[in-house]
Amino acid sequence: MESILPLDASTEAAVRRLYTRENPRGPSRELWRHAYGCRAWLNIQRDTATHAVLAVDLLDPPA
Amino acid sequence: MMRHSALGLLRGGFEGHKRWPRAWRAPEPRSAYDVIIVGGGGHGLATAYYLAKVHNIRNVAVVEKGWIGGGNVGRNTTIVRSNYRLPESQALLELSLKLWEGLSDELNYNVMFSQRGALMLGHSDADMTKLAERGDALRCNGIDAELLSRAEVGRLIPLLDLSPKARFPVQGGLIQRRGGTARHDAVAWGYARAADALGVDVIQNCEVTGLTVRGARITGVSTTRGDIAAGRVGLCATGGSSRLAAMAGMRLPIECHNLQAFVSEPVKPMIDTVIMSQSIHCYISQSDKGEIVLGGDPDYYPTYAQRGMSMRIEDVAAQAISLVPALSRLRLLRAWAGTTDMSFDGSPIIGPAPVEDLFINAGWCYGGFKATPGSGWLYADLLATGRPHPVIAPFSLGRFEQGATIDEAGVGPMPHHR
Repeated sequence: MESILPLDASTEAAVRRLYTRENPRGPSRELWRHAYGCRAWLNIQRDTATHAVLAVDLLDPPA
Repeated sequence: MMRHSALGLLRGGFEGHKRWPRAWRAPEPRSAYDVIIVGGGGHGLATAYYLAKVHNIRNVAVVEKGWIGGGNVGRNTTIVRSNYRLPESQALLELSLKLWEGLSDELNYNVMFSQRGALMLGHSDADMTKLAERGDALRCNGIDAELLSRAEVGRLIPLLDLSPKARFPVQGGLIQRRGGTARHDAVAWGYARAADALGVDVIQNCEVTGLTVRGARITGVSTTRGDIAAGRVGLCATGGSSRLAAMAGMRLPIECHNLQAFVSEPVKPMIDTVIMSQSIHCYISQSDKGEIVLGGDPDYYPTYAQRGMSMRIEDVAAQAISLVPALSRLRLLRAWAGTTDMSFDGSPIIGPAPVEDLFINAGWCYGGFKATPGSGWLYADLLATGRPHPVIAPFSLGRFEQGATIDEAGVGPMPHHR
């Protein structure tokens, strides 16, 4: 829980963290999971206007 | 504005339809207006009309980055109803429905509002319980609702699969007889024409590139056609809400997703009510042109692309054919999509912004079209008086902070999905 929001956060900080979104029209950072395949977690940069995938990284690359 | 009439139509026909005047002007933006509405969609145009008509505030501009009606007012599945579950939603949509009922006369423009009924099917005991509960809630608030038996549903929709082999057996339904459909483009054009006739400047190809804030107050907008000063500014542009709010240093509880819709080739009348379902997310109606209009689940990921994934075409087709097998013989003519402002409780956000004289109308998720007249009327009231009408007061931006979310889906304060 603390990783999402400290329990003593101000109302303003809590609302900002839990509810507001940048909602970009353009490049956006997203967390994806290859659910039907290797089940790896991926950091993806995707353009929300064109759906072009700009960058892909494994969240936890093998050593 | 030339008043439309049956006689005028007849005369136009004899004249080869060559002498119809412009429906609205194409004015250059002036240097200042009392009110600027950002967004020339259904809600924005309706707001401008009611500002002029109800409040006699005519020094108004609607600025639209593209062409009016190119956004969601032109992309929806035309369904109009007020049979939502929560009292706040019911009050908002019922106010809107009552305006729909006189709209063509009010605007002197045929919006083809057809009160053919809006039926929700129930496929199980649980579905029927939920439908009965919704019906009771509606009746308690003076809104029409009727619980139908399986046989009654079958008489209403003869082509519905009620056979023992039906994929989605039908136990009955809940109908709002005053609900139905309207011709979406006509709504945009009707409001634009009527607002223009009252002196409102409808300015197309005019994109807002900045909001001018001096101190704690908004004083105007910057656009691709110059800077314009304003007494009040009302943001009303689904798909652009976050970007516009950011121009005033604000972040909204909105994420843009996608909703697709489809039409088949036109055929003779075969479905004469609006078919929705308590459990299945496909909905079906037939336009006055004869096309079967289909919709289904949204595409649940952030996007502004206004085109969706092919999986939805399969889902919607499969569900539609399961409900009405005769549809399997039709060809799909068009598929398109609109950008939906998904709010954190599935309900719209209408009210003053934290910046003085700036107002927000956003977050309509996938239920904006039916609210067009009501949203316009109420937003005009807000822009005219500066104070939210009691019907929109619960839909404030501040409700998330207060925990006073209007959670139609009953799933808690999360990006709305069914």
